[in-house]
Amino acid sequence: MTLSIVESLKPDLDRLYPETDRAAWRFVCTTAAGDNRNDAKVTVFVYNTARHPMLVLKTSLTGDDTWVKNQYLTLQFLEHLKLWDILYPRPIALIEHDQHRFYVESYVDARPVAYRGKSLQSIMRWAIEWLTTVHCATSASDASASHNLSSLLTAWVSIIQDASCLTSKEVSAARVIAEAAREVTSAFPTVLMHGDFHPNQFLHMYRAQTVGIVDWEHAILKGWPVLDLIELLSTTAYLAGQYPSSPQACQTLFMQPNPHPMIARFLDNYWSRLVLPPDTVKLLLGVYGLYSLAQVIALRGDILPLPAITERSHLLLAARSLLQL
Amino acid sequence: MTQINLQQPAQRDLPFHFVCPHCQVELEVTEWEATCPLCARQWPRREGILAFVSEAEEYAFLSRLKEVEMPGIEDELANAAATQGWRAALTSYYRQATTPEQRAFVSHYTLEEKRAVWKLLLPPGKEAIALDYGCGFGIYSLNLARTYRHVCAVDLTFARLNFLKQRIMQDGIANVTPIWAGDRLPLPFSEACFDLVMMNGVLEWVAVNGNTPPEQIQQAYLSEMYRILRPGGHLYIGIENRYGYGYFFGKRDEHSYLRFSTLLPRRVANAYSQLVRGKPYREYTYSAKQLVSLLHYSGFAQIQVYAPIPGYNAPRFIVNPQDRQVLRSTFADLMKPRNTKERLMKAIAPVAIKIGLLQKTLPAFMILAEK
Repeated sequence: MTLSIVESLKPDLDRLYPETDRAAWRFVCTTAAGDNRNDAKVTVFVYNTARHPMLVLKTSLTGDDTWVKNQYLTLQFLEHLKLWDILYPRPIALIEHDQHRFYVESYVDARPVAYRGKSLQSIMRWAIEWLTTVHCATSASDASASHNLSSLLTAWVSIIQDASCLTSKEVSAARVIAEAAREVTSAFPTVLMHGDFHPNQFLHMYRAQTVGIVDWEHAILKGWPVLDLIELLSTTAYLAGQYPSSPQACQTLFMQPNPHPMIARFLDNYWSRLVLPPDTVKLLLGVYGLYSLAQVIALRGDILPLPAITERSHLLLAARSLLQL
Repeated sequence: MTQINLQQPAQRDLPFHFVCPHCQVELEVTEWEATCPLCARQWPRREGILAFVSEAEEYAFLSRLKEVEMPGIEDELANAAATQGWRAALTSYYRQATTPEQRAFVSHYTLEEKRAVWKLLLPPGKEAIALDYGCGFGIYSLNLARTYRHVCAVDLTFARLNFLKQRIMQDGIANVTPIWAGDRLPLPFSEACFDLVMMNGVLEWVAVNGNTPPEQIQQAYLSEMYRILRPGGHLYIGIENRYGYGYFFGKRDEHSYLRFSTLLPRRVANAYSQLVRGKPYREYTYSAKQLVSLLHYSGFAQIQVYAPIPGYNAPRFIVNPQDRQVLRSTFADLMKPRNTKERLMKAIAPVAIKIGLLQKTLPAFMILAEK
């Protein structure tokens, strides 16, 4: 019983784990769940019955494997920044074969964190502290920062404006928010953005006694600040069962005349440590709507409209009206 | 974008050969038709696609399927793809679709490339030539074309092939050739011309017409696939497990739409089908052991059986069904139940694995047989 990719990686696995029994490798092949129809990615859990750790191989079925490389390079970058003590799982290798590129990482006794009650609160506090530390360590306000942020807006709008599943009103809202954000890019630093930062990405690594943050394939080395924080807060509120969807949680928590008091406390801390311009939360909320809509369309293709997309576009429309643009 | 003229695919440019199904002599293929130089039989092109079946044969086949397929959708999509472009055709269809089944029909069969995850079970196919037998709208062909040298996409439903033709023309994909064929043996291909033949959800349908016992027809198809495979080439089969655990809980058979029909002895199932549907039960599925036996009988020596969960069409996991440790890890650690049935499965899986029951009742199989 073999898996072709595991077979083809055996020499690399032997090199990485020279003392391991070659006959004891086992695998489970999994595909992306849910709505990510165009994002034909595959995760293979490989473990050796004779020895830990479990390896995770990620690869692409469609040949578009830029995200595979992106994941590895991002974690290398974090390692270079000496943030190793808060970085699990470990990136092991980027292996290139004829037709596939594999990102390999290792796990030690990993289990998803529970996100209920007190456990949720403690993991939230930890995650926000983690995020703030990483964003502070990677923030850059050099001459190219404004250009980088502006380029991201252009890229996201171009995905949205070509999407046949959106209405002209939604596309117009995206353009308006992008223009408003473009005017103030010089006031913001760039930070390392995870791009998909929510509690399902956190794993307890029991042996290492720490928490790992996985799925860095959408990371942007010079990305917008705050967007990861908005995603974390709104998704956590949704996962805690308080809201029917993450975009709806986002609207309720951030778009009241003033943000929810607990949210305001988190934001104040983040704002002061990163030295961000005041009174820009709502604009950044619009940028988050723009980003998350573009990301969903990029993952799913632009053909099939789903409620998840509609809610995100509602977020855009609400942000525009809130900003009175 | 490179436009391909499907009206003039020169035979010499294709990496496989067509042969006369009657004389086994290589056909002369022109922009109008294919002709046998020995018996002078001719097979015309229909809208640029080489046609080895007639509309009457297509109708005879489709009329047997009318209760499970959605008649008319394929024609609508193909026509809209020709006039508006395939993307706009799908978008427009999706907006008009009223039921989840209609939406799923489009998205599953035209957009979800992750269904081709089984190709990672195979050796790399950079120079390989594949036959997608029963290609439907061609989602597997399109994915295989990303990494294979050439893919021959065969189906019995012309409208689906026509949609695929529009798609490859509009996207400039040069290494996919749609062929209108099937439902009659031998196939119009020379011996040992493919490195991969895939039959995803096809084997159970090949015997729906005729009076010959279904096993014999299915056996004949497997032998035919053996003939057209190169030595060392692979046959991939995606098929439901006859004894899948869902059927024991009253799930309808995906092919006959009858409850418990796969679990019954064939003769009893046939009488049951005659009584309920007014037609014989011929959509045979098998256990892993029975499938391996069929394949051995057809000449295949090396056979590997994998279990896709929850099914071969939308696999979330692919595992070795005989490896208890892998099964335990999949059900206990990796699976996130989405409904009550999955929660129940997760709860009883450890015991079912321990007594060897789950291994025999996994929902489907992905089988790789090497020539």
